[in-house]
Amino acid sequence: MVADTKAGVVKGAPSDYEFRVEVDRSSKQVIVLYWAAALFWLTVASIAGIISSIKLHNPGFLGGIEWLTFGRVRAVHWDTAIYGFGGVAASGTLLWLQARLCQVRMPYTKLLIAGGLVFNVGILVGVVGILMGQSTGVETLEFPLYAMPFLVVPYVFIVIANFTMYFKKKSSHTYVSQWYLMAVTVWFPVLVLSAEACTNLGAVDGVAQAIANWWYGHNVVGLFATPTGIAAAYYLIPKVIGKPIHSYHLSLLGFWSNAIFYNWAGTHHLTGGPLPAWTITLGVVGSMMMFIPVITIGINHHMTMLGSFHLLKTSPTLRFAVMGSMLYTVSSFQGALEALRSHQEITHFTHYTIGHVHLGMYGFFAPLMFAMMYYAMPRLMNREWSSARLIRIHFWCTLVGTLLYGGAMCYAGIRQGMMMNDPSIPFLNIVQWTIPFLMSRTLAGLILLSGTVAFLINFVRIVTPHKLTWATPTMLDSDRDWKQILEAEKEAKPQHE
Amino acid sequence: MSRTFVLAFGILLTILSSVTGLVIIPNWQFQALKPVVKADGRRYPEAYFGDSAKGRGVYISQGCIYCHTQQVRMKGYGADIRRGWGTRRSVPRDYLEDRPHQLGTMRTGPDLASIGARQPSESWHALHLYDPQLTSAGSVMPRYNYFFDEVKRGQMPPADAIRLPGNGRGDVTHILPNERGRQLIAYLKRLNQSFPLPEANQ
Amino acid sequence: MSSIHNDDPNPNQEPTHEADVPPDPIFVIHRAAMREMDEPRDGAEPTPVSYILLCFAALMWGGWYIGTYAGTWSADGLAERATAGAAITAPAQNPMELGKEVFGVCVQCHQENGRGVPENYPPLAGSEYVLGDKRKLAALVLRGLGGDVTVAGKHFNSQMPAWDNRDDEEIAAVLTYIRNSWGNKADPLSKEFVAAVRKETEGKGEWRPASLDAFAATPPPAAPVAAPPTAATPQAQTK
Ligand code: HEC
Ligand code: HEC
Repeated sequence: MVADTKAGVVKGAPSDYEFRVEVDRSSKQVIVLYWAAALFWLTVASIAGIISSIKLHNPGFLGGIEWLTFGRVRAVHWDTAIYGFGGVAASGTLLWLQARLCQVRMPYTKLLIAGGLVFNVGILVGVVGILMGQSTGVETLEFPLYAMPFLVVPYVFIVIANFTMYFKKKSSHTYVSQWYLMAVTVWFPVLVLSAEACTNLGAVDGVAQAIANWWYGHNVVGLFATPTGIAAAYYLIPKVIGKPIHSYHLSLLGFWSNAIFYNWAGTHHLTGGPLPAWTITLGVVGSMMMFIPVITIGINHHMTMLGSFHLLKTSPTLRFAVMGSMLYTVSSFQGALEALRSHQEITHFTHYTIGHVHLGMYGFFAPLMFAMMYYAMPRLMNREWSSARLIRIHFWCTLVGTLLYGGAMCYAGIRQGMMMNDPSIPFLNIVQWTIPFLMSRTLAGLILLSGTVAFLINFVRIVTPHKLTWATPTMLDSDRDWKQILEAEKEAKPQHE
Repeated sequence: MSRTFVLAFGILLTILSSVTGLVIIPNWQFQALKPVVKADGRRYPEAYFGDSAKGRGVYISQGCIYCHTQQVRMKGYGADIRRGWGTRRSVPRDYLEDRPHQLGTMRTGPDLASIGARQPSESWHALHLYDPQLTSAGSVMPRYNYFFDEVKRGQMPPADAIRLPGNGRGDVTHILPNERGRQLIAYLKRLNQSFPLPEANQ
Repeated sequence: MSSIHNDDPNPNQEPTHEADVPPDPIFVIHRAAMREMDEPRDGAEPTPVSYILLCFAALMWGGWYIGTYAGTWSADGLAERATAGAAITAPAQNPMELGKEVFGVCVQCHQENGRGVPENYPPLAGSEYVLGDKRKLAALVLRGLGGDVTVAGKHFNSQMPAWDNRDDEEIAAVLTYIRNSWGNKADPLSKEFVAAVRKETEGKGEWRPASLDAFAATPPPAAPVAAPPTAATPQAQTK
C-alpha cells in the first residue's frame, strides 16, 4: 500500500493537484448550492416522513386538517426524498465527479446555478400542489403537471454540462464511474418523458398505465439513484485508500448487466395484479438477474477494500462509502428475492416493501451521497469539518436508524402478510398488531433525523467562514469540536476591536 | 471516440428495449380489449360520470391510494377472495375507464376494488369517513370530517342527516355529507367488480 | 494530532500538529487538494471462469422461468401457467371450516365472539334471527337489513349490506357456522336451500324488519329444497 501511495504521488503530484484545485474552484458554487439544497430537502422529507409515520399509529395526530392528511404528507415525503434529496444530491455528485474525472473546469456555471434554483422552486411548487390536493394520483409522479417544466428544463442544463465535460475530457480513458454518470444522463430524461407521457399526459390508460407507472417507479431508483450511488462508491473507495479498483473486467460485467436487467424489473410491483402473466414474469426475471451485477459490483468493491479495512476507524468518507456499498449488496439481494411470486404472495401490499425501500435509499444511496459530501466539501470550501463528534453522531444515527427501520418494517411486513393471507384473522386485529412496529419506525425516523441535524450543523459550519483553520483532515477519532471554533473566535475578537 | 459511441448507444438501447417491451407492447395488446355489453344493454366497465367521476378526483386528491389497493388477486394466491374483497380476480378489462389508474401497492386498509358491492350503505360510509372510530374502533384510517356538515346538540337536524351512534361525538349529534362527501361516497358505491368476465376464470 | 490520522495518506505533506501549518502559502490554500491520492485507476484482475459460468447458469434459470411462467403472451393470459386453473380449484371443505373463514367478513361488525357492538351491531350469539327460521335468516343475509330491529331484547337501528355477492356454498357455510358457534345450536343449511331462497328473493332490496316478517309469514313456493342446483343465479355461476 505504501508503495502504491508513493507511486501515485510521484506520478501525478505537481501538475495533477494544481488541476484539481482549478477544477474544484470552478465547480465550488454549483456543487455547494446543490448539496445544501439536497440537505434542506432531506430534512423536509424526514419531517414529512415522521409526520406520516406518527399518523399511522396515532391517526388523530394533526388529524382532521385537509392539508396535512396522511395521503398528502406521505406523497410529499417520498417526492421530496427522491427528487429533492435524491435528485439534487445526485446531480451535484454527478457534476463534481464528472469535472474531476474529466479534469475540466465546470462549464456553464451560471446556467447551472440558475437551473439549480429553478429546480428547487419546482419541487417547492410540486409540494405545495400536493398539499393543496392537486396530486396527479400516479405514485412517484405525483407532482402536478405545472411543476414539471421547472424540473425538466434545469435537468437539460445538467445533461448538457455533463456531455460538454465528457467530450472535453483530458484523458482518453473513461473511468467506470463515468460510465454510470453518462448512463444516468441518458436514462433519466428518457425515463421521465416516457412515463409522464404514458401517465399524466394520458397516452395510455388502465392497466397499461399501471405498468408504465411502475416501470418508472422502479427505474427512478434503479436507473437514477443507484447508478449515481455506484459511481460515487467506485470513485471514493479507491480514491481514499489509494489503490486501483480491483478489476476492470468485473466493472465492465457489472455495468452492462446492471444496464440490461434493471430496466425490466419494474412490473414485479404489480405481482398478482390484473396484468398479463408475461409482463410480471419478465419483471421477476429482470429482478432475479440483478444478482449478477450486484454480486459483481460487490466483489469488485470488497476486493478493493481488502487490506484497508482498518481505515474505517478514522476516515469518515470511507466509513459512509463502505456502509453504502455493503447495504447495496444486502438491499439488492433482498429486492431480487422479493420479486419472486411466492415471496410476493406474502409481502406484497405490506410494510415489507417500505422497509426494503428505506434499506436501499437510506442504507445505500444516502450514505454514498454523505460520503461524497464528506470528501468533497473540505476541498471545495478549503476548510475542514469542524466537529468530529457530529460526524460520529451522524454516522451512528444513520446506521442504527436504517437498521432499526429496515428490521422492524421487514419483520412486521412478513407477519402482516401471513396474517392477511389467513382470512380467519379479522383485518382490524392485523392493523392493531402492527402498531408497535409502526411506533418503532417513528423512533427510527427520529434517529435518522437527529443524524441529519448533526450533519446540517457541520455543513453550515463548513460553508460559513470562521477563524480557526486546521491543516489536517477531521478524522473520526479526533476530539475536534466546534466549541473550539467558538473559543477561537472569542479569543480573536478582542484583538480585532 | 468509438468507445464513447458504444457506451452511449448501448445505454440508449437498454432503455429503449424496456420501454418497448414493458410499455409499448402491453399497451398495444390491450388495444384489443373492449368493454362488454351486459344483458340490460349497459356497458361494463361503464365510464365514470357525474358524482362518481368527481368523487374519483376526491379519492385521488386525498391520497387514499397510499393505504388502499383496488385489485383483487386470484383465488389461491393470497386470501383476497376469501376475505370477501371480491368474488373473482381483477382483470385488465375492469380498468378500461381508469385514468389515472389507482391500483395501489399498499394495504394498510382493505382492498376497495369491490367496496360498492361489499358495503352499499351510504350512511355507513358517511359515518366511517367522518370518523373511522365510529364504525371500526381501532382503525388507523384518518378522519375525513371536512367532507361533512356537523349538526350540534340542540340544533334541529335536517331530515336526511345521519345520526351518530350513541351519544354522538363531542357536541355533534348528526352529520350531513357536503358536496365532496357525497361525490366520494358515490364513487365508493360505484366500485364494483362483481360482473363476471370470462377471462377472470383463469 | 499525529500523522497516522490519515484520510488521504500522503506522507509528503502531512503536518504533524495543527499549529504546524507550514508557511508555504500554496499549501495553506490548497492543503486538502494536495494531500489527496491520485484519481482512481482500474486494476486488471481477471474474472474467474467459474464466475462467468455462474452468470450463465443464472441466465439459463431466467430463460427457464420465462418459458415456464409467461402464460400465453397475450393481454388476457393472466395465469402464468396453462395448468394453473387446475391448481386453484379449492378442495371441498367442511362447512364449519369454510364458514369460519367466510365469517372473516362479518367480524368487522359482529365481532369474533359473535356478541356485536352495543348500540351499533347486534349480536349473533343467542339471536332469535340466527337460531330461528332458516328461510328468513338466509333471506336476511342475502339481501341485507335496515331499520329498527330487536335482537335479544336490545334495539338496533342501522344497516347491514346484502351479501348476495357470496356464492350459495359460502352463505350456507357461514350460516351453519353462526348457528353452531358461541353456544348456538341449530341445524345446518344446505347450499341448495340457499340457492332456492336466493331465487325466491331475486330483485328484492334491503329488508326492513316488517317486510322481512311478512316474507317469513308467506309460505315458500312449492318444494324449495328440491330446486335443482342449476337454479343458481349468475353470481353463483361466476365461480
Ligand atoms: C392511513 C391509511 C388509510 C387511509 C389514508 C385511508 N384509509 Fe380507508 N381504511 C384504512 C384502514 C386501516 C381500514 C380498516 C379499518 C376500518 O374500517 O376503518 C380502512 C377501511 C376503509 C373502508 C372500509 C373497507 C371495508 O372493507 O369495510 C373504506 C370504504 C375506506 N377505508 C375508504 C377510504 C377512503 C375513501 C379513503 C380516502 C379518502 C381512505 N379510506 C383512506 C386505512 C386508510
Ligand atoms: C358493515 C357491518 C356488518 C357486517 C360486515 C355484517 N353485518 Fe350483520 N348486521 C349488521 C347490522 C348493522 C345489523 C342490524 C341491522 C339493523 O339494525 O337493521 C346486522 C344484522 C344481522 C343479523 C340479524 C340480527 C342478528 O343479530 O341476528 C344477522 C343474522 C347478521 N347480521 C348476519 C351477518 C353475517 C352472517 C355477516 C357476514 C356475512 C354479517 N352479518 C356481516 C352489520 C353488519
